[in-house]
Amino acid sequence: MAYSDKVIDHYKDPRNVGSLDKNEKNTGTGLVGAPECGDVMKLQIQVNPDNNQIVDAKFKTFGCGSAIASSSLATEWVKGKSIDEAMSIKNTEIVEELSLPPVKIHCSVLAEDAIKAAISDYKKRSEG
Amino acid sequence: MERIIGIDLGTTNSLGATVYEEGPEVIEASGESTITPSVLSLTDKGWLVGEEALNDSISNPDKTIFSVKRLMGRSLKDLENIINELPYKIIEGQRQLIKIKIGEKEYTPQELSAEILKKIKMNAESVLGETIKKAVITVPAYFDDAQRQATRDAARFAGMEVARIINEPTAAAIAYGLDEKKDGYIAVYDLGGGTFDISILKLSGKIFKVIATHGNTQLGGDDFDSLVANEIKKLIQKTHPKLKLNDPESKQILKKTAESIKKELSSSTETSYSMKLPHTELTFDGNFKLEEFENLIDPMIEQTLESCSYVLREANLAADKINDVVLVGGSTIIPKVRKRIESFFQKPPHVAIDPYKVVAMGAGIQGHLLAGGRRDFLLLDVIPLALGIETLGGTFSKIITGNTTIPAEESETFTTNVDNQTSIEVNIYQGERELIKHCRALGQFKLRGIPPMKSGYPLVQVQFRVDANGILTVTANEKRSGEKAEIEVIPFHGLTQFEIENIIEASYENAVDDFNQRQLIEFCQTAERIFRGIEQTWEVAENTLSKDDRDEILKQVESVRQSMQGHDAQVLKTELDVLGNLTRPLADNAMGKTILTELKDNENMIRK
Amino acid sequence: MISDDIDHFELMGLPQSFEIDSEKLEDLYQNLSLEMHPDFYGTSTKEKKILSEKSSVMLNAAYSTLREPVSRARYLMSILTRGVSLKKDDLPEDFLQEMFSLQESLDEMLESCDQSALCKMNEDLLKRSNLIQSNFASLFKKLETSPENTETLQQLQKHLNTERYLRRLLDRINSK
Repeated sequence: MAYSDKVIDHYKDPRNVGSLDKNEKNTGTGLVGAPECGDVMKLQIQVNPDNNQIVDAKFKTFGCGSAIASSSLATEWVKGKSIDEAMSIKNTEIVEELSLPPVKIHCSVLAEDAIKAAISDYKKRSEG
Repeated sequence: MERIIGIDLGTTNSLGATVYEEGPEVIEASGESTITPSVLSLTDKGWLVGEEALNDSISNPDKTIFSVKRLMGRSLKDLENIINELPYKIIEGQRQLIKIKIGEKEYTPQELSAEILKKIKMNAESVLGETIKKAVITVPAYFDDAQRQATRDAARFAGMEVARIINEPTAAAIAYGLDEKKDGYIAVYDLGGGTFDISILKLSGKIFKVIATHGNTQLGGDDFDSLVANEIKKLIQKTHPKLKLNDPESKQILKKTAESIKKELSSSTETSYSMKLPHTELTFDGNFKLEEFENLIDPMIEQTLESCSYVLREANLAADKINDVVLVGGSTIIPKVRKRIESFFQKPPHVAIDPYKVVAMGAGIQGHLLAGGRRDFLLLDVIPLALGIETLGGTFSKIITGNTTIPAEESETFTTNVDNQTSIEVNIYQGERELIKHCRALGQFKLRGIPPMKSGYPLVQVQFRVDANGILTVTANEKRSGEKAEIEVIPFHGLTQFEIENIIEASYENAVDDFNQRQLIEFCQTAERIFRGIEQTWEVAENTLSKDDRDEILKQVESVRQSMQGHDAQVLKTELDVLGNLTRPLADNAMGKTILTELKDNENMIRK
Repeated sequence: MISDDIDHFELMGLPQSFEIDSEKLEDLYQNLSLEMHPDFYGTSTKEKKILSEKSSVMLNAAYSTLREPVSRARYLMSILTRGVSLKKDDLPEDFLQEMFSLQESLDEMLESCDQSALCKMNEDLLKRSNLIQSNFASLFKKLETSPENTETLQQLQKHLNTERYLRRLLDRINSK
């Protein structure tokens, strides 16, 4: 099976690890967990309020390699997308891109949930 | 009942044991040492094994092989740390397999190990007077699948089937447990020549169960020797700065000196030594203090106790909950080792059975059980390290966790990544770490025959099954179509079926030789019985046979005796046949019938 | 031949309940092992060998699942929640945030090899885990009289979820 180097990189050298200041305006934080294995994932976005575009994304994940790769890929994908576009990212796309085995599918679900949680947090904060 | 003997195939010493009517005991040849040093040396006449090889080691250092066990199932990378200390050349073969270069020839560790096993087998055959086809062989608890497989291959080369591979500490616990028959937790501390392991077993009712096990396959008494050898080397170089002492002969002499210092210090507080420096006219004399020795080895003992703490945590037990501490391996004779064990477990360890023999005896008892000889105990074994597969990005996904009682079975579902993909390759690993680069590759399997479907749609269920022997087999079926996928396991390590067959074929000549050797032993035993028969009927012969006939019989007895000193079983057989014809008239009376019966047995045996 | 889908309780001949007589389980396991382990069938027919191997696999799986309270609770839950819809990822409020912070502090402790802090965290986590486990018995008992009680099932689910996160931290501490 041949995988593109780009994909494997998400495992070996995950992108966007770190955090944004969660009190800063225009940010949104999603914190999710997987009860199947006890993984915890935090994903944060920074949004340009003028056009609702996600300008930056960071994550920190305590979990297995697949969970880390899924969150790394998720941050890469949301950057540059509008929040509506980001809302439509499906876990199955992550499964396909990372070729996750069935036993690791919950890792991709976690990443999808994290994106949605971060966006709804942003919306709540910007409205309030 | 077909006998299954037990063999302790050790790094420094090996020996066999079996259960006699009186109970378990090591197999002892009369007048010979019970223990065979695990040493080989290649001479013009072939392999020398054991004591003879050891005696040969100083004069033939290039062709003397020690500690083959440390090389079993290992790759060059595994051996990085010790490779410079080995006095022989190791080269890398195909698929990370290592070979030992001796003269112009290359040998796998399995082939060399087989020579030691052959020696044990022959010894057992001559003592027990029967052909040995099966054995229980012991390995350190921490041996992984590749190392266990290598051990099985070695036995095959030696003409034996492995009835079971069992862990050394487990064997020791069986030997003690059956003696004491006390329920509770047993800790087996095994510090041998090349390996260390600690195991916690539970004896409950008639069942032995390994609760947890931990160890280090690259730590043992040999390392104590190396430390001492290094110290001496430094001392020598202080006096003789120009001496490099890196050649095989120097290494061998340093090793021998270090060994004898270690031995001496088991019973005294100081020892002196004197060693000839090779390639010079010089002799070096020195003293070694017990305290100095103890300080040197203490960090290594500490390492073993760290493993003990680890294993207790794993077993969820405090040190004082251990009921019995059993010592195994030559290095546990060192007083400092015993002292530290005693203070760690807060109780004196058991020493009733010779730590050199206890493992072989336990293996012999297990062999007796597997042969159907008893049902009064059961050993429940576990897989030492998790088994699993590589998932993307070099991560290791466990399928069967470590310390699972075997036999065990788990399954995992796989799928395809590309549309119409009809095969999947899966890499199997063993270990406890998260990345496959820290685990051991066991093999690769290909699932073929998956019906063409959209990617991600097939559900291929792969079953990992570990049988009571600890052997992993993998089967698979695609659940949507119900089709069985074929699996081909390609070992990364160890020998392929093809290589095994080649080696067996190449050793065919030797096999003929072994057969000859066995027949020789058997015919000699027959001859002895016939001689006794003749002696007992001689009075009758004097009355019934002419002097010429009797002289001819006596002459023939002499010829048979001479052939018994020779090396050709067929010649001995011919001489025995002649003797048989000459003594036929004696068969008319009762005593003579005994001889005839013996001869008939003999003939049947030859026809077989 | 034993059917493949027989549940662990049935296989051991124990009632389907969280409270089990561990001594009885131990005895059953030992006696059955002494009956069916492959070691006793080395000289038997192929059919007998296969049967003994297969039964031993099932026996080992049942025993190892039922012996530990947490795995027993999870297994029993998997039976009791068949066809029941529960909130699968239910957790106490702010629990995830706390776990995330604990994971971050653990990162620091591991980096600085702070043994005493690691020991303390290990102890605290074990205490919490034991506290959770102490709830299992009474909750499962409640279910025995009213098996359709979704609220109790949900409570158990929550406890089991919590236990998983704590276990994850404990495993991380102890694997170093």
